[in-house]
Amino acid sequence: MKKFRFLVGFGLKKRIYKKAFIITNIIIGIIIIAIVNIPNIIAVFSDDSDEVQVLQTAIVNNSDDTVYPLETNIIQTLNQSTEKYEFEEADNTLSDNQDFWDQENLDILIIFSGDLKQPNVEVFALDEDYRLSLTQSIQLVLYEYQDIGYANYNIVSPPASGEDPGLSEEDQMFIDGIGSLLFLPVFFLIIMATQFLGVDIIEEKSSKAIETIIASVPPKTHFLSKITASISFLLIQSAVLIGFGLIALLVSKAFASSGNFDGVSLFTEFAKRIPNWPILLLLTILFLLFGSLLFLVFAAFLASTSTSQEDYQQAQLPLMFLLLGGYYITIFLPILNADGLIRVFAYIPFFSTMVAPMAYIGGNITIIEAIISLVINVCFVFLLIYFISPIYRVAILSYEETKFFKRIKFYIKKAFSK
Amino acid sequence: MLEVNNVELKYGDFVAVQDLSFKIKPGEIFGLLGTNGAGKTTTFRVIMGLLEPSYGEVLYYGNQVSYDNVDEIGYMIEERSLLTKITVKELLLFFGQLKSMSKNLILERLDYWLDYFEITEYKNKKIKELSKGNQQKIQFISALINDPKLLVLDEPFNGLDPINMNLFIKVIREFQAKGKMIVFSSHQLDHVESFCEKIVVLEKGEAIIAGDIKQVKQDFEKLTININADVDIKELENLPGVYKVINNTNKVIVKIESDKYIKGIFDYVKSCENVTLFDVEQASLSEIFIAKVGGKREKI
Repeated sequence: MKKFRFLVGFGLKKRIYKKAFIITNIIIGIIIIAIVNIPNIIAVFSDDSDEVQVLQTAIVNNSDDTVYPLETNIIQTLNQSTEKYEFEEADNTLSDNQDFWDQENLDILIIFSGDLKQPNVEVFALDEDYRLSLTQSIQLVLYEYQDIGYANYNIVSPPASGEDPGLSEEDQMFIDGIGSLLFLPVFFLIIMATQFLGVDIIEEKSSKAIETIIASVPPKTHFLSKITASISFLLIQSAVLIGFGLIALLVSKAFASSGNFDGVSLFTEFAKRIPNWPILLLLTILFLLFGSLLFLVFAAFLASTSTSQEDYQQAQLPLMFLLLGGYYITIFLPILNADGLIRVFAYIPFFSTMVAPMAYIGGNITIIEAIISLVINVCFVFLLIYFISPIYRVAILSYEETKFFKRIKFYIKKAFSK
Repeated sequence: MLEVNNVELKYGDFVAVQDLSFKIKPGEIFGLLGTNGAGKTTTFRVIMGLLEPSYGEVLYYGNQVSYDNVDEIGYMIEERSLLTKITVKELLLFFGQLKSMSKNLILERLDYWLDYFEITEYKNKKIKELSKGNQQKIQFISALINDPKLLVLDEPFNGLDPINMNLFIKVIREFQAKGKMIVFSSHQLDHVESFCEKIVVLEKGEAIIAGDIKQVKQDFEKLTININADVDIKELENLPGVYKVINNTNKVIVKIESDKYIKGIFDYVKSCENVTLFDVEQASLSEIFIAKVGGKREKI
């Protein structure tokens, strides 16, 4: 156990205390912070007047009386109430709110009904952000023209259209986009970890240092220590990336106090659109952990059967195909609405690492089904370790130069001969 | 005590080591000799537990060599098995900790051995920056660092110049004096004679010569006589028991079948003029090896 711990520590230090690791992460950190804050950075160098958002406002007058002063002054009053928005009266062909939510060029719809003495005002707004200022402005206008006590006004948002409150097209697109946003780092992290593991084993094997090492520690300890070191590295790297993400959000929050883009709000928006995000995050971490283990065990097996770096680069191709396959399935199947295929791949080890969490967000599988997929993955990891350990023991000290499959066949035969 | 009892190792139909037995006691230096591919490295791998014998066993103080007692063994493999991208200090810390040593003890011993081999200045240099000879020294130190009771050295003198070779032999002798067991392999048989007590000579996995080196030489009846005198080569060749005569510039070397022919040759040399040398010596290990292997190969 002491030697196992030492080997894990040595493997980790070899990667983390490298200048390459530190410099790469500093660069990645700067890039993440910069990307999240690009809108703020642009805002810093741009004219303040550019920040004013123009809101196309349609006014419908269904009142019995002429409400001309109201209709005219409401735009002026709205514009006086805030500098953040500019309310611009839009040409309007709408007579009620039925089609408002489908309009792309309208932000606000104000409908007057009743009469001047007791008007009814309905306001439909696309965004929650300017609802408050709208309410205050309309109250002000109504005060100016009559006793507020006689007015009925109603601000409507989101639409009272009786539509299915399910995912809007925008939300669906957002969720589809999560595939590339959330799983791209997962994809790269697994690639990094498998590369490190393979190169590490091959370095020891090709230099023949492996013989001195295996003379001191059992091959199984060596095998498990390499995997543990790699998975620890992967978790540390993930934590570093999450840390950079949080720093980036905090930096953007600081910028946001001056009225610019706010990364924390973006995160809030993310949480709003995916209400079950804590479960999703947990699932993604668990699938990342056990899915990576699967890839790492397989990578260790391939590295042990290789004799040189070149040999390993060729041998690891199937692993890369599995990884790329999983990633592309995660990105493209939701776009193609291939729900059945997503469900199938969500259960297949190797693919499920990325597909299962995505299938869960997209509603293709339930939480129970996601857990079943995870259990299958975990079982497969242990099964793979059980079968690969004896092969690793034989292969790690062998320098067979025969053809790949012949070599594998030889190792399997030798590993299970007794 | 290390006992190798009737060890046999097969790769499919190929027999790599066949019925090999020998014992090494504390304070003994044991040589495992043979040509390239004779089975020396395979035997060491079996001793170290890296290969499981098809038959037979290896006992270290009565127990199987296992990961429970492997920390008491130092192992140097034939090729330079070093991690080249790390420094000498890092490498020795790595190998030392794999032998369950504390960092302080490793550093203490590392300083001692670097000083011994006069390579202190390379302590913080990367292995790949060292010359081959110095890499060989580092590898040797990696086998010594845990102060092992059994030192297993596979071709330790490969590529060494005479000065460094003597340095290695000096260390081996010091280990012997401390009562440790040393087993090493070499295909340079003549180097071995000077400091080795027991040997096994392998040929195609089979022990063709085994035992105490003096006894081996005694058992091999053929002798060599060095003569410096005005002799007639043809007459010498025709004497009974003489099977080869080599006329060198400074002496004549006469190979004879056994000691019973010495007197006849001596009587002949006595009759010649300007006799300054008549020296009878036992056959060298190389001669014994060539004679044995030649005979074996002829049988095949």
